[in-house]
Amino acid sequence: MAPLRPAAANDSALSARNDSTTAGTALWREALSAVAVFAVDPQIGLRLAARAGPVRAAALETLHALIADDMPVRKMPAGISEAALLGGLDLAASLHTGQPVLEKGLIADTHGGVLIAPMAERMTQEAAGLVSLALDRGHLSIERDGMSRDMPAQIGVVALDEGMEPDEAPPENLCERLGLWISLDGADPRGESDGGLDAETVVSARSRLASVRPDDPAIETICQTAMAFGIVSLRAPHLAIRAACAAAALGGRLSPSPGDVEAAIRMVLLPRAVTMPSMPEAQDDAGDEPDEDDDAQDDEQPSPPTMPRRSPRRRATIPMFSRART
Amino acid sequence: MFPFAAIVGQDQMKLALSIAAVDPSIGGVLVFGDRGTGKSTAVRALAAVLPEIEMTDCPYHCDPARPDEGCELCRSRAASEIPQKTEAMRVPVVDLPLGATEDRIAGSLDLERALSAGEKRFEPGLLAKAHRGFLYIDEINLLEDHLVDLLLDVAASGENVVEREGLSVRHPARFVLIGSGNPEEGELRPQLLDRFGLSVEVKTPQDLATRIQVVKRRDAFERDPAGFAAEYEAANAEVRDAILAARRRLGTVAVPDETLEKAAQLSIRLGTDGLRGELTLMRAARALAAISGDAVVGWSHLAALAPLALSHRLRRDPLDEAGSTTRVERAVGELAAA
Repeated sequence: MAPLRPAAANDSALSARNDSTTAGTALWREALSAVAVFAVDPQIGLRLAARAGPVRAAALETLHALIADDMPVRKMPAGISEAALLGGLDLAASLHTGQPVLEKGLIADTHGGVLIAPMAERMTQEAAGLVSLALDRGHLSIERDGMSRDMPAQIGVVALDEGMEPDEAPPENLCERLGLWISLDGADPRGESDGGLDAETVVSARSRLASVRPDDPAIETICQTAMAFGIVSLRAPHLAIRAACAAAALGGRLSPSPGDVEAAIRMVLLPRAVTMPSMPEAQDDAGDEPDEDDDAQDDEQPSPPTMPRRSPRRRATIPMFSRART
Repeated sequence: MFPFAAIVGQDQMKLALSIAAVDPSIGGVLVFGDRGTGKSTAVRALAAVLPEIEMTDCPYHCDPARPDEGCELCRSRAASEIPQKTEAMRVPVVDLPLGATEDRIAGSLDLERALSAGEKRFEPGLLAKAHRGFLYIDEINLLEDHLVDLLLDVAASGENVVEREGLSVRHPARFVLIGSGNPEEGELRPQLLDRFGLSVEVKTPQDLATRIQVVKRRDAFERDPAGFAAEYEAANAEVRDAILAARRRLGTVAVPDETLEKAAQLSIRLGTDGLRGELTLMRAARALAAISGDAVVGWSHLAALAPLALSHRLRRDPLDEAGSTTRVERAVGELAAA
């Protein structure tokens, strides 16, 4: 039985190619460009659908190589407690010094860096709520154990989504706030493991990012596309604009080019699509069986007059790493 | 903070929050709706448009004009006619963060004092901070039940009673409870729903032009929060002045018997439980009249606020598939025609 995974930005690259090696390489490149966008602006957030394995390890290795050396990188275990995330009274230190000492929690400790959540599909909604709060506000209010503190918490989150069944997904309140949705399914890193990206490019892109401005056509295209995809939330187009700006910074531009906008649409909006605007290539597959491997059509339906509330269902697809391993 | 005046659309949510700012006795606002609609942005933005109030220098910032409603210290000072020091402060908006523990909400033993001086002293919590202001709970459906119960009890009684860690303290805690959440993450208990005076259902704007405007403003704000806020300072001040003016006018707005009767008819027609709905509807309509500068509460005010004041108090009707807001609007239409 084919494993299930969420739709991801690089899905379309697969159906576009017939040769599986080339397709695998294309998928890998697309995944790497998303990792680079994340490394330039980690607060966009990344949901990486992949089972643990050499391909995911290679992707994470690239991520580590691209993010700044001084950025803290922390792991968030799936079963982490509220106290560990937020912090609380350090009893030993408090008794020792005679005044309450706060032990920083994982979220505040990751300030300015990247929080990686393996097995994110096992994360509780409460834990996701706390991480979401930090993503929304960039700081964290602690009201615990008799202490009241406010701490900066600007974090980039990578959710490693190992879900296989339709109901196995990271909590929706978190996914909503993670911009880039990428799957490593079928990606083949052999041949060009780093995709030609180096830390220097990312560093200079990061310094350029503050002066990158999206122009009106870019904003309008992204908003329009989000609407055509039936995406209700306004966070998605907002995150897509940030992604387009980061892509522009990577390309040395001060405003997103049509190509940057397209890349942002592929990485942020397409995987969230609930309805598909009719496209020529979509019609080619219209007669296919619904459980066909090619998954681009699963959620397709005529655009309803009002926008649906649900986020996209997961779709059946090719077994994850069979292609990459042979 | 994102400026209140820069929020695009979302008129019902802004109206409900303004009404609560004009008359805190309406008893809380519940904001429910889709993700990414700016629910929490609006509530947090409210803080900047609230007027200043006079407060005493006690830990609970009591109202110097009403010592009978004050804390123990204020009451004893009033009784012995000791003059109160007062100062002006902005109406507080207190955020109750997810993960807050009961001791910090209700207040608890002052740990620093206990450790350093061996002294047992009460350290006021978030409920004390929120006294005379707003208490905001985002993702209210994720809050643990025992904390919800505590909040509801204090919100209803206006008093926080702490019996813990060898302390026995009571202090006034009258605040407007504002909750927001996403219905997909679980429904609220009916007992909890009924405690909120007004409920607003927020939807993402559906037309492209508005959506583009929302996204553009958000992007501009994130780029330069201070510059963006400065751009809207004058507009924010206008909202603040309007709220202040409405507060002053509130006492002079007349509620004729005819309007009361209409409110009662509406409640009866909808079969809402108890009198809370009617009472809230009447108070909210009066606040709306004060905001609009009308001297008398009329049918138009009732009709505008009936969905906000009544839709969350309806009993489920197995024979009626329509949503509760639709049912209220229908009843309003029928009554207007009758």
